[in-house]
Amino acid sequence: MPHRRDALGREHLLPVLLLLPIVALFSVGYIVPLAQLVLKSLQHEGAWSLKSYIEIANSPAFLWIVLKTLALAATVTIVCLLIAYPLAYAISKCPPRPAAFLLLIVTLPYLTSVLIRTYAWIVLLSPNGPVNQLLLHLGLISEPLQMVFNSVGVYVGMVQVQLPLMVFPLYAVLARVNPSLAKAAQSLGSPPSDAFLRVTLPASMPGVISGCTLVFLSSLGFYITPELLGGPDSYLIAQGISLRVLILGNFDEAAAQSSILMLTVIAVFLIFRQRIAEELDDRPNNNVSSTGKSSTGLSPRSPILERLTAVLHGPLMRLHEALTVVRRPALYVSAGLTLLLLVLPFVVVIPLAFSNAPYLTFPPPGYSLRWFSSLLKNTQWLDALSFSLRWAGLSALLSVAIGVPAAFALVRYRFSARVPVYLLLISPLIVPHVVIAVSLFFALAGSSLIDNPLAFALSYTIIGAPYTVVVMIAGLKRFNRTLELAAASLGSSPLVTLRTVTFPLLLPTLASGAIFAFIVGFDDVVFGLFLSGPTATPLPMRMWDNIRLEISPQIAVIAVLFLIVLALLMVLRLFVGAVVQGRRPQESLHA
Amino acid sequence: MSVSTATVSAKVTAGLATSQSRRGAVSVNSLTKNFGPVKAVDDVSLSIEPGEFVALLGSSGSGKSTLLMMIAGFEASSSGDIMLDGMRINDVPSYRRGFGMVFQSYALFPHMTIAENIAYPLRRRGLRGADVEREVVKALKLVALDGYGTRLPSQLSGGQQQRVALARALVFRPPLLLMDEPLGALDRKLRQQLQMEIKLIHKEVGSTIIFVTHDQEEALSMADRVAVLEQGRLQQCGTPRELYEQPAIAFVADFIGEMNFLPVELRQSGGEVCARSADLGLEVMQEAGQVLTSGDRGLLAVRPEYVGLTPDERATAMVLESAYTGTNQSVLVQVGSIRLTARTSVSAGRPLFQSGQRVRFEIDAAHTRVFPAAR
Ligand SMILES: Nc1ncnc2c1ncn2[C@@H]1O[C@H](COP(=O)(O)OP(=O)(O)O)[C@@H](O)[C@H]1O
Ligand SMILES: [Mg+2]
Repeated sequence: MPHRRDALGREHLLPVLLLLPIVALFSVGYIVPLAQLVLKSLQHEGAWSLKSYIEIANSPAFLWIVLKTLALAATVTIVCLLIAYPLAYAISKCPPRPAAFLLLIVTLPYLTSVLIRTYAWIVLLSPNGPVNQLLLHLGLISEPLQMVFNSVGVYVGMVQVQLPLMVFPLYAVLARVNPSLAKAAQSLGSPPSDAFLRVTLPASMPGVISGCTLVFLSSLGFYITPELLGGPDSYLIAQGISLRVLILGNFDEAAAQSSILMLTVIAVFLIFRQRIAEELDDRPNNNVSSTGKSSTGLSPRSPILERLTAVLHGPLMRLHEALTVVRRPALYVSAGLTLLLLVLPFVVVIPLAFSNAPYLTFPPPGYSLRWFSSLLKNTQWLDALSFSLRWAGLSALLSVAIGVPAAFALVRYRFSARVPVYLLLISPLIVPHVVIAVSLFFALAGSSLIDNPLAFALSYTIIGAPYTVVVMIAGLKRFNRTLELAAASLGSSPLVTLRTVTFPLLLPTLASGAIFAFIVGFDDVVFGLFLSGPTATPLPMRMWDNIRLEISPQIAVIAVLFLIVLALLMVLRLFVGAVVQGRRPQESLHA
Repeated sequence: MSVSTATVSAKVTAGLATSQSRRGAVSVNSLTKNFGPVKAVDDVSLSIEPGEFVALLGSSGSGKSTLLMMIAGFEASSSGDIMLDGMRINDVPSYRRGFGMVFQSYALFPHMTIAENIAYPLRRRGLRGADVEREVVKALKLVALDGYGTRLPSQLSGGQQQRVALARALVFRPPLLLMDEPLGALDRKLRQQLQMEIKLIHKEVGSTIIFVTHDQEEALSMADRVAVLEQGRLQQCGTPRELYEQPAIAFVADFIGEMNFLPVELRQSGGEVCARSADLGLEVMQEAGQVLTSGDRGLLAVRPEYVGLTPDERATAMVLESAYTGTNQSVLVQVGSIRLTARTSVSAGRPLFQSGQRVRFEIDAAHTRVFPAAR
């Protein structure tokens, strides 16, 4: 019960016990390998040395790659912000049901593997793909534009892939901006446009910051999309690292580059940790003033921001007034286009799966199930599918088993290491997977754990459990603890309360956490690149090879199957929710 | 569960009123709760008879909930004792105390039907099958919700949900029922209706009730005794009538009902004290017992109904504003720099007081008290 302390210090022991499993697993599979990676980068032929760093610092090629990576991450972040904001704003203004539907459309691509989406972009942007066909048809171009296998493809693909990461935090904040706040501003004399500039926009800044941080950090270490959609001119840092490990065998430099990438990401992460750790905050989140209010009741804004706003205010106001007439249409057109961008991959992938052509061409000349039957006949694909289902499934269970107790400890107990532990547990969300995979590859190299399903179970859990933790923390914070007090007053011990009240009510959240963890493992390519072999081949590795070597409609079939599974999982999740809301058969009563 | 099933079900199935007759005496002795530097509850002592209905009254932040939470076992005390029927229960965990509790937010389990919600405490006490069903039906009848058992909480209105919460808290016949602003979320009409129902149910089941509220009208109309809290301290505890007629301190006098406070000078004369104010042209003789200060200045407290008004063209007092409420007229009078309120009963044929009218006022000395000047 809240803030009970007893002489035995049980209050301190319990969170430790709850956190023990996940911290132990993270130590073995994450912290130690990463620490070894950094140590390795500081050594050369068995002795301490900065040789690797000196070498890469003197390499203009590396510096060029770093610059290109930073430029890409920054551009993708800005473009995402510009197109995600109107969409998030429009959704936040929608009534609950349409809003939920639109959010589902944003979530769908987020849950669909990056591999599938990148594949769709290859089809969409290829010289005889639908985009070029449309442009030719409209007479805007006279010959196909080269948009794949160069940086154009990388930029388009990256923006589409990262977009949901920007929409979610923006929507979360905008939905929270109490509409009555904007109304209050209006009734106090600000015209609507001014109310947006003075109230809504500043209030949404926390969402802008977390969205930008997420997209920027995640873009820095991105591998799949640049590798598949890019050409030689769009070579980025994550590709450089994997090339050094897998092809060149230059482990020392790979370790140094990985360390630099990781430390950069961690540094940015720590700068913005206040925002991120806010998730753990107890203050009620239901109104905007809770986002950083000083004791004077005035929001602390940086003087620079203040001055910038003051300078920009006049011109912005005039622009805004001029735009007032077209404001609504512009908002909806822009939000609509962004939605289109999000669903475009599915628009090509689904018909493609039913193509009757023996090779990839869009639109398909005719329709058949030939690619479905070819998949069912191919034992290699089926083996890979069953491998992925099995080990991603196991990891999802493991993620729940270790993530749920951790979330309880973090939300329900106060201890000094709380924020650091939280940051550690969610850090796999932002440390590039390439870096984690390389560190595991080094740690396991030479052991029987390479090309071993156990290594996959371990790595899938490390990248999946953070999702379970985050989802569960959100669920626990939303949970009405008065229900537990009520249960106690009615005679339930803490364990009985957990079993009869807390757990049943959190079951839908638990299911979401498990689904997230499963999908993260099931979609993984990067760990597959480093840890797979002839005996342990997950499905994404087969897809990866297919896209790189032959690119056939086979991938589209997998995508369609994946969407079906996703739909089933979502229905299951809804069902679990309904069961929890409805009657539970075991305790039913005929009164 | 420490008590065996048999004992509990015997208790549960015993007669309604009789089982309560000697249980449910609660007392707290020098109970204190610190939240860091904040003394949320400060040295509170209070003794409650079995079957008594006590209201904890105080403004927001005065420590009512904290005191209730300590009695319920949800909050550990910093010092002091909590006793139930002569036994110290500070270290008994909440789920073993066996008190009923009703929360402002109802706290019904959303995943269970109404019947399952009410059956919940019975199942925790080992009751099964037909026993459970019989008790649930009885409890639903008690709160006039027969036939609602199969619904979900979300399908009920706020008032109905709170009645279910009440039934759930009473179905296991707790010796003590704790309620934390149970009617705070309801609209005025529903609140008044439920106030009546809770009083009737209290008569029927006979449990001791501690009822937290910040609404003085609610406290006065419902409780046998009212305990007034301010800044964590128990200021006064007494029957509604005692609090109204003999407030022990200015805070209580001000908090409960309406009160005029008039600055006066005090002079001892024999066994009596003379309270006078030159500005008001006022001189009142007071029994020493009514004067709660030893200083030579004080505040003379008088309720509006004990201020009499007579129209008088030559008087210095003037009517500022008045409000007609049917049987009464409230009149705000300005005398020099002081304003006071009078309540006069309206009788047929007598004209109402008008703004700007000159009046003479007199104070019924028998119904005044003098409090210390520094408030
Ligand atoms: N968990 C807590 N931590 C710190 N201070 C608290 C806590 N609970 C209550 N308080 C403080 O104790 C005081 C009394 O609170 P409470 O008992 O809730 O008052 P009431 O119910 O009369 O409104 C308030 O000043 C409140 O801020
Ligand atoms: Mg309270």
